Amino acid sequence: MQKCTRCGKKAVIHRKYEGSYLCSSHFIKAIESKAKRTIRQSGMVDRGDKIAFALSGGKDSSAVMYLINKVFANRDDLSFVAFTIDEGIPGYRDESIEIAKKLCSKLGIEHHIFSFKDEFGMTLDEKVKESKKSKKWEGTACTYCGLARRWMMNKKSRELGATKVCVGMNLDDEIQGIMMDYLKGDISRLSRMTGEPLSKNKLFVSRIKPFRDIPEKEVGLYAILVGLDVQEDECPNLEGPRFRVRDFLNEFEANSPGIKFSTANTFKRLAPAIREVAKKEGTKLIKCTKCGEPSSQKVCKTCELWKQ
Amino acid sequence: MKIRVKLHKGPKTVDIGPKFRVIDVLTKLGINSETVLVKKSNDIVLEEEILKENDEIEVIRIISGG
Ligand SMILES: [Zn+2]
Ligand SMILES: [Zn+2]
Repeated sequence: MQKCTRCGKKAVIHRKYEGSYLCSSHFIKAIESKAKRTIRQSGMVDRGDKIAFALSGGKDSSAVMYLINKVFANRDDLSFVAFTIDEGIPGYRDESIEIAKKLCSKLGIEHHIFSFKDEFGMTLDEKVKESKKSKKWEGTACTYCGLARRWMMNKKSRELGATKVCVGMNLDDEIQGIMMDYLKGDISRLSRMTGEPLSKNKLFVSRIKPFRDIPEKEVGLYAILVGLDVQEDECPNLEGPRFRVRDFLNEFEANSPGIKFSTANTFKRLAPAIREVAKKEGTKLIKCTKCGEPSSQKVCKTCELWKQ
Repeated sequence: MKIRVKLHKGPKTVDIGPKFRVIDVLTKLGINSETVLVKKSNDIVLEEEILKENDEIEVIRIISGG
Protein backbone atom coordinates (compact mmCIF):
# COMPACT_ATOMS: atom_id res chain seq x y z
CA MET A 1 0.00 0.00 0.00
CA GLN A 2 1.35 3.40 -0.99
CA LYS A 3 1.15 6.14 1.61
CA CYS A 4 0.29 9.83 1.40
CA THR A 5 3.48 11.88 1.13
CA ARG A 6 2.00 14.43 3.55
CA CYS A 7 0.36 12.35 6.29
CA GLY A 8 1.08 8.68 5.73
CA LYS A 9 -2.55 7.59 5.23
CA LYS A 10 -3.52 5.35 2.32
CA ALA A 11 -2.90 7.12 -1.00
CA VAL A 12 -5.63 7.48 -3.64
CA ILE A 13 -3.41 9.01 -6.28
CA HIS A 14 0.14 8.87 -7.49
CA ARG A 15 0.95 12.17 -9.16
CA LYS A 16 3.80 11.01 -11.33
CA TYR A 17 4.31 14.48 -12.72
CA GLU A 18 5.38 15.74 -9.30
CA GLY A 19 6.42 12.48 -7.67
CA SER A 20 3.89 12.64 -4.85
CA TYR A 21 1.26 10.39 -3.30
CA LEU A 22 -1.87 11.87 -1.75
CA CYS A 23 -4.58 10.50 0.52
CA SER A 24 -8.21 11.36 -0.07
CA SER A 25 -8.37 14.40 2.18
CA HIS A 26 -5.04 15.86 1.07
CA PHE A 27 -6.01 15.30 -2.56
CA ILE A 28 -9.35 17.10 -2.10
CA LYS A 29 -7.53 19.99 -0.40
CA ALA A 30 -4.95 20.10 -3.19
CA ILE A 31 -7.63 20.29 -5.91
CA GLU A 32 -9.57 22.99 -4.10
CA SER A 33 -6.54 25.16 -3.51
CA LYS A 34 -5.37 24.70 -7.09
CA ALA A 35 -8.75 25.78 -8.45
CA LYS A 36 -8.74 28.75 -6.08
CA ARG A 37 -5.27 29.71 -7.29
CA THR A 38 -6.41 29.54 -10.95
CA ILE A 39 -9.43 31.70 -10.11
CA ARG A 40 -7.29 34.24 -8.28
CA GLN A 41 -4.52 34.37 -10.88
CA SER A 42 -6.92 35.05 -13.74
CA GLY A 43 -9.35 37.21 -11.79
CA MET A 44 -12.19 34.84 -12.66
CA VAL A 45 -14.45 35.88 -9.79
CA ASP A 46 -15.22 39.50 -8.92
CA ARG A 47 -17.20 41.03 -6.08
CA GLY A 48 -20.94 40.78 -6.64
CA ASP A 49 -20.68 38.31 -9.51
CA LYS A 50 -23.68 36.24 -10.51
CA ILE A 51 -22.20 33.00 -11.76
CA ALA A 52 -24.17 30.80 -14.12
CA PHE A 53 -23.04 27.18 -14.20
CA ALA A 54 -23.33 25.47 -17.56
CA LEU A 55 -24.17 22.13 -15.99
CA SER A 56 -24.24 19.12 -18.31
CA GLY A 57 -24.60 16.58 -15.53
CA GLY A 58 -21.21 15.14 -16.41
CA LYS A 59 -18.38 14.95 -13.89
CA ASP A 60 -16.58 18.15 -14.92
CA SER A 61 -19.44 20.60 -14.70
CA SER A 62 -20.89 18.89 -11.61
CA ALA A 63 -17.53 18.97 -9.85
CA VAL A 64 -16.77 22.59 -10.68
CA MET A 65 -20.18 23.71 -9.42
CA TYR A 66 -19.77 21.67 -6.25
CA LEU A 67 -16.30 23.11 -5.65
CA ILE A 68 -17.22 26.76 -6.26
CA ASN A 69 -20.29 26.41 -4.07
CA LYS A 70 -18.07 24.95 -1.34
CA VAL A 71 -15.05 27.24 -1.44
CA PHE A 72 -17.14 30.41 -1.80
CA ALA A 73 -19.73 29.38 0.77
CA ASN A 74 -19.08 32.45 2.90
CA ARG A 75 -19.12 34.95 0.06
CA ASP A 76 -22.55 36.57 0.45
CA ASP A 77 -21.86 38.95 -2.41
CA LEU A 78 -21.90 36.10 -4.96
CA SER A 79 -24.99 34.43 -6.37
CA PHE A 80 -25.33 31.23 -8.35
CA VAL A 81 -27.67 29.85 -10.97
CA ALA A 82 -27.33 26.74 -13.18
CA PHE A 83 -28.69 25.60 -16.52
CA THR A 84 -28.56 22.46 -18.60
CA ILE A 85 -28.82 22.43 -22.36
CA ASP A 86 -30.92 19.61 -23.78
CA GLU A 87 -29.69 18.83 -27.29
CA GLY A 88 -32.27 16.12 -27.74
CA ILE A 89 -29.90 13.22 -28.24
CA PRO A 90 -32.10 10.17 -27.57
CA GLY A 91 -31.10 8.07 -24.60
CA TYR A 92 -28.08 10.19 -23.79
CA ARG A 93 -29.23 13.40 -22.20
CA ASP A 94 -32.16 12.21 -20.05
CA GLU A 95 -30.05 10.65 -17.32
CA SER A 96 -27.63 13.55 -17.09
CA ILE A 97 -30.49 16.04 -16.80
CA GLU A 98 -31.75 14.08 -13.81
CA ILE A 99 -28.27 14.12 -12.25
CA ALA A 100 -28.03 17.89 -12.86
CA LYS A 101 -31.44 18.54 -11.29
CA LYS A 102 -30.65 16.46 -8.23
CA LEU A 103 -27.30 18.14 -7.63
CA CYS A 104 -28.83 21.61 -7.89
CA SER A 105 -31.57 20.81 -5.44
CA LYS A 106 -29.01 19.29 -3.06
CA LEU A 107 -26.85 22.42 -3.20
CA GLY A 108 -29.82 24.79 -3.27
CA ILE A 109 -28.96 26.29 -6.65
CA GLU A 110 -31.71 27.46 -9.02
CA HIS A 111 -31.75 25.25 -12.13
CA HIS A 112 -33.06 25.79 -15.66
CA ILE A 113 -33.31 23.49 -18.66
CA PHE A 114 -33.06 24.98 -22.15
CA SER A 115 -33.59 22.83 -25.21
CA PHE A 116 -32.46 23.02 -28.83
CA LYS A 117 -36.05 22.18 -29.71
CA ASP A 118 -37.41 25.31 -28.02
CA GLU A 119 -34.63 27.53 -29.27
CA PHE A 120 -34.21 26.30 -32.84
CA GLY A 121 -37.41 24.35 -33.41
CA MET A 122 -35.41 21.17 -33.82
CA THR A 123 -33.46 18.65 -31.76
CA LEU A 124 -29.89 17.84 -32.77
CA ASP A 125 -30.97 14.56 -34.33
CA GLU A 126 -33.71 16.22 -36.34
CA LYS A 127 -31.29 18.91 -37.49
CA VAL A 128 -28.70 16.37 -38.59
CA LYS A 129 -31.31 14.41 -40.57
CA GLU A 130 -32.68 17.54 -42.19
CA SER A 131 -29.30 18.93 -43.17
CA LYS A 132 -28.16 15.66 -44.64
CA LYS A 133 -31.35 15.45 -46.69
CA SER A 134 -31.07 18.99 -48.00
CA LYS A 135 -27.38 18.37 -48.87
CA LYS A 136 -26.40 21.36 -46.75
CA TRP A 137 -24.48 19.06 -44.44
CA GLU A 138 -21.33 20.65 -43.03
CA GLY A 139 -18.78 18.87 -40.91
CA THR A 140 -20.08 16.57 -38.21
CA ALA A 141 -22.91 16.42 -35.66
CA CYS A 142 -20.35 17.82 -33.20
CA THR A 143 -20.01 20.95 -35.35
CA TYR A 144 -23.75 21.64 -35.19
CA CYS A 145 -23.99 20.70 -31.54
CA GLY A 146 -20.94 22.65 -30.37
CA LEU A 147 -21.95 25.81 -32.19
CA ALA A 148 -25.50 25.75 -30.90
CA ARG A 149 -24.41 24.93 -27.37
CA ARG A 150 -21.89 27.77 -27.18
CA TRP A 151 -24.42 30.15 -28.69
CA MET A 152 -27.10 29.17 -26.18
CA MET A 153 -24.67 29.18 -23.28
CA ASN A 154 -23.86 32.83 -23.91
CA LYS A 155 -27.41 33.95 -24.68
CA LYS A 156 -29.00 32.15 -21.74
CA SER A 157 -26.36 33.31 -19.27
CA ARG A 158 -26.95 36.88 -20.36
CA GLU A 159 -30.71 36.47 -20.11
CA LEU A 160 -30.33 35.04 -16.60
CA GLY A 161 -28.47 38.20 -15.65
CA ALA A 162 -25.21 36.35 -15.05
CA THR A 163 -21.92 38.21 -15.07
CA LYS A 164 -19.88 35.02 -15.55
CA VAL A 165 -20.60 31.64 -17.02
CA CYS A 166 -18.66 28.81 -15.40
CA VAL A 167 -17.77 25.73 -17.42
CA GLY A 168 -16.13 22.48 -16.33
CA MET A 169 -13.34 22.50 -18.89
CA ASN A 170 -10.23 20.82 -17.50
CA LEU A 171 -6.56 20.75 -18.46
CA ASP A 172 -7.16 17.98 -21.01
CA ASP A 173 -9.97 19.90 -22.73
CA GLU A 174 -7.76 22.96 -22.75
CA ILE A 175 -4.74 21.37 -24.39
CA GLN A 176 -6.90 19.42 -26.85
CA GLY A 177 -8.35 22.75 -27.94
CA ILE A 178 -4.90 24.32 -28.20
CA MET A 179 -3.60 21.42 -30.29
CA MET A 180 -6.66 21.44 -32.54
CA ASP A 181 -6.45 25.19 -33.21
CA TYR A 182 -2.75 24.84 -33.79
CA LEU A 183 -3.19 21.96 -36.21
CA LYS A 184 -5.95 23.80 -38.07
CA GLY A 185 -4.05 27.10 -38.02
CA ASP A 186 -6.91 28.92 -36.35
CA ILE A 187 -4.97 31.82 -34.78
CA SER A 188 -8.08 33.76 -33.91
CA ARG A 189 -9.52 30.92 -31.85
CA LEU A 190 -6.12 30.16 -30.42
CA SER A 191 -5.84 33.73 -29.21
CA ARG A 192 -9.24 33.50 -27.55
CA MET A 193 -7.97 30.39 -25.72
CA THR A 194 -5.33 32.57 -24.05
CA GLY A 195 -8.15 33.51 -21.73
CA GLU A 196 -7.25 37.11 -21.09
CA PRO A 197 -8.13 39.80 -21.18
CA LEU A 198 -11.68 38.62 -20.61
CA SER A 199 -13.69 40.02 -23.48
CA LYS A 200 -14.80 43.60 -22.99
CA ASN A 201 -17.67 43.08 -25.43
CA LYS A 202 -20.92 43.54 -23.48
CA LEU A 203 -22.66 40.84 -25.49
CA PHE A 204 -20.25 38.25 -24.19
CA VAL A 205 -20.72 36.80 -20.75
CA SER A 206 -17.15 35.95 -19.73
CA ARG A 207 -16.55 32.23 -19.58
CA ILE A 208 -14.54 31.06 -16.59
CA LYS A 209 -12.75 27.71 -16.33
CA PRO A 210 -11.58 27.10 -12.75
CA PHE A 211 -10.41 23.55 -13.68
CA ARG A 212 -8.21 24.80 -16.50
CA ASP A 213 -5.07 23.64 -14.68
CA ILE A 214 -6.42 20.31 -13.38
CA PRO A 215 -6.00 17.07 -15.37
CA GLU A 216 -9.23 15.33 -16.35
CA LYS A 217 -8.35 12.22 -14.38
CA GLU A 218 -8.01 14.29 -11.20
CA VAL A 219 -11.35 16.02 -11.80
CA GLY A 220 -12.88 12.55 -12.05
CA LEU A 221 -11.20 11.43 -8.86
CA TYR A 222 -12.31 14.59 -7.04
CA ALA A 223 -15.89 14.02 -8.20
CA ILE A 224 -15.87 10.44 -6.93
CA LEU A 225 -14.26 11.29 -3.60
CA VAL A 226 -16.73 14.07 -2.79
CA GLY A 227 -19.57 11.71 -3.66
CA LEU A 228 -20.84 13.07 -6.97
CA ASP A 229 -22.58 10.88 -9.50
CA VAL A 230 -20.07 10.34 -12.29
CA GLN A 231 -21.59 7.51 -14.27
CA GLU A 232 -21.72 8.96 -17.71
CA ASP A 233 -22.34 7.51 -21.10
CA GLU A 234 -20.32 8.62 -24.02
CA CYS A 235 -22.18 10.87 -26.43
CA PRO A 236 -23.23 8.66 -29.37
CA ASN A 237 -22.22 11.36 -31.85
CA LEU A 238 -18.57 11.49 -30.81
CA GLU A 239 -16.33 11.63 -33.81
CA GLY A 240 -13.69 13.69 -35.46
CA PRO A 241 -10.06 14.59 -35.13
CA ARG A 242 -10.41 16.02 -31.63
CA PHE A 243 -10.67 12.53 -30.23
CA ARG A 244 -7.57 11.38 -32.02
CA VAL A 245 -5.77 14.34 -30.47
CA ARG A 246 -7.18 13.36 -27.07
CA ASP A 247 -5.96 9.78 -27.42
CA PHE A 248 -2.56 10.93 -28.61
CA LEU A 249 -2.13 13.27 -25.65
CA ASN A 250 -3.21 10.59 -23.17
CA GLU A 251 -0.80 8.10 -24.62
CA PHE A 252 1.97 10.66 -24.50
CA GLU A 253 1.18 11.57 -20.88
CA ALA A 254 1.18 7.92 -19.79
CA ASN A 255 4.69 7.54 -21.16
CA SER A 256 6.03 10.99 -20.31
CA PRO A 257 4.23 12.28 -17.22
CA GLY A 258 3.96 16.04 -17.21
CA ILE A 259 3.52 16.77 -20.91
CA LYS A 260 -0.06 17.96 -20.36
CA PHE A 261 1.18 20.66 -18.00
CA SER A 262 4.11 21.59 -20.21
CA THR A 263 1.82 21.92 -23.25
CA ALA A 264 -0.42 24.30 -21.32
CA ASN A 265 2.53 26.21 -19.88
CA THR A 266 4.21 26.66 -23.25
CA PHE A 267 0.94 28.06 -24.51
CA LYS A 268 0.64 30.45 -21.57
CA ARG A 269 4.17 31.73 -22.19
CA LEU A 270 3.45 32.23 -25.89
CA ALA A 271 0.07 33.84 -25.24
CA PRO A 272 1.18 37.49 -25.59
CA ALA A 273 2.80 36.70 -28.94
CA ILE A 274 -0.26 34.79 -30.15
CA ARG A 275 -2.51 37.70 -29.19
CA GLU A 276 -0.19 40.04 -31.08
CA VAL A 277 -0.43 37.98 -34.27
CA ALA A 278 -4.19 37.62 -33.92
CA LYS A 279 -4.52 41.38 -33.51
CA LYS A 280 -2.52 42.01 -36.66
CA GLU A 281 -4.63 39.55 -38.64
CA GLY A 282 -7.60 41.14 -36.90
CA THR A 283 -11.04 39.59 -36.77
CA LYS A 284 -13.45 42.09 -35.28
CA LEU A 285 -16.56 41.04 -33.44
CA ILE A 286 -19.83 42.55 -34.60
CA LYS A 287 -23.47 41.82 -33.81
CA CYS A 288 -25.01 39.07 -35.94
CA THR A 289 -27.74 40.75 -38.00
CA LYS A 290 -30.08 37.81 -37.46
CA CYS A 291 -29.79 36.97 -33.75
CA GLY A 292 -27.82 39.83 -32.22
CA GLU A 293 -25.19 37.54 -30.71
CA PRO A 294 -21.53 38.45 -31.17
CA SER A 295 -20.06 37.20 -34.44
CA SER A 296 -17.12 37.79 -36.76
CA GLN A 297 -19.39 37.74 -39.81
CA LYS A 298 -22.62 39.57 -40.66
CA VAL A 299 -24.58 36.39 -40.01
CA CYS A 300 -23.10 34.15 -37.34
CA LYS A 301 -22.27 30.53 -37.98
CA THR A 302 -25.03 29.33 -35.65
CA CYS A 303 -27.69 31.26 -37.57
CA GLU A 304 -26.21 30.06 -40.84
CA LEU A 305 -26.45 26.42 -39.83
CA TRP A 306 -29.43 26.45 -37.46
CA LYS A 307 -31.73 29.30 -38.28
CA GLN A 308 -32.77 29.10 -41.89
CA MET B 1 -3.69 -15.90 -12.43
CA LYS B 2 -7.17 -14.59 -13.14
CA ILE B 3 -8.68 -11.21 -12.27
CA ARG B 4 -12.36 -10.30 -12.63
CA VAL B 5 -12.87 -6.83 -14.11
CA LYS B 6 -16.07 -4.81 -14.00
CA LEU B 7 -16.17 -2.56 -17.05
CA HIS B 8 -18.58 0.00 -18.47
CA LYS B 9 -19.57 -2.49 -21.14
CA GLY B 10 -19.91 -5.46 -18.78
CA PRO B 11 -17.71 -7.85 -16.80
CA LYS B 12 -14.63 -9.57 -18.13
CA THR B 13 -12.12 -12.03 -16.79
CA VAL B 14 -8.48 -11.32 -17.52
CA ASP B 15 -5.64 -13.80 -17.25
CA ILE B 16 -2.60 -11.73 -16.43
CA GLY B 17 0.00 -14.43 -16.00
CA PRO B 18 3.02 -13.66 -13.89
CA LYS B 19 2.55 -9.91 -13.58
CA PHE B 20 0.08 -8.71 -11.05
CA ARG B 21 -0.51 -4.97 -10.80
CA VAL B 22 -3.59 -2.94 -11.76
CA ILE B 23 -1.65 -1.29 -14.57
CA ASP B 24 -0.91 -4.72 -16.10
CA VAL B 25 -4.61 -5.53 -16.26
CA LEU B 26 -5.31 -2.19 -17.94
CA THR B 27 -2.51 -2.72 -20.43
CA LYS B 28 -3.82 -6.18 -21.20
CA LEU B 29 -7.26 -4.68 -21.90
CA GLY B 30 -5.79 -1.91 -24.03
CA ILE B 31 -7.00 0.78 -21.64
CA ASN B 32 -4.91 3.92 -21.16
CA SER B 33 -4.54 4.57 -17.43
CA GLU B 34 -5.01 8.31 -18.01
CA THR B 35 -8.63 7.68 -18.98
CA VAL B 36 -9.84 5.59 -16.04
CA LEU B 37 -9.94 5.22 -12.29
CA VAL B 38 -9.88 1.81 -10.68
CA LYS B 39 -11.69 0.60 -7.59
CA LYS B 40 -11.11 -2.59 -5.60
CA SER B 41 -13.70 -3.46 -2.93
CA ASN B 42 -15.19 0.00 -3.50
CA ASP B 43 -11.92 1.78 -2.73
CA ILE B 44 -9.86 3.74 -5.22
CA VAL B 45 -6.58 1.93 -5.88
CA LEU B 46 -3.39 3.08 -7.57
CA GLU B 47 -2.14 1.58 -10.81
CA GLU B 48 0.77 0.03 -8.95
CA GLU B 49 -1.60 -1.79 -6.54
CA ILE B 50 -0.67 -5.45 -6.44
CA LEU B 51 -3.50 -7.88 -7.20
CA LYS B 52 -4.19 -11.37 -5.94
CA GLU B 53 -5.78 -14.34 -7.69
CA ASN B 54 -9.55 -13.82 -8.15
CA ASP B 55 -9.44 -10.19 -7.10
CA GLU B 56 -12.27 -8.16 -8.57
CA ILE B 57 -11.63 -4.65 -9.77
CA GLU B 58 -13.92 -2.01 -11.25
CA VAL B 59 -12.72 0.21 -14.06
CA ILE B 60 -14.43 3.61 -14.14
CA ARG B 61 -14.07 5.58 -17.34
CA ILE B 62 -13.58 9.27 -16.60
CA ILE B 63 -12.96 10.84 -19.99
CA SER B 64 -15.79 13.16 -20.85
CA GLY B 65 -18.52 12.27 -23.27
CA GLY B 66 -18.59 15.51 -25.20
ZN1 LIG C 1 -2.68 12.77 3.53
ZN1 LIG D 1 -26.73 34.80 -35.39
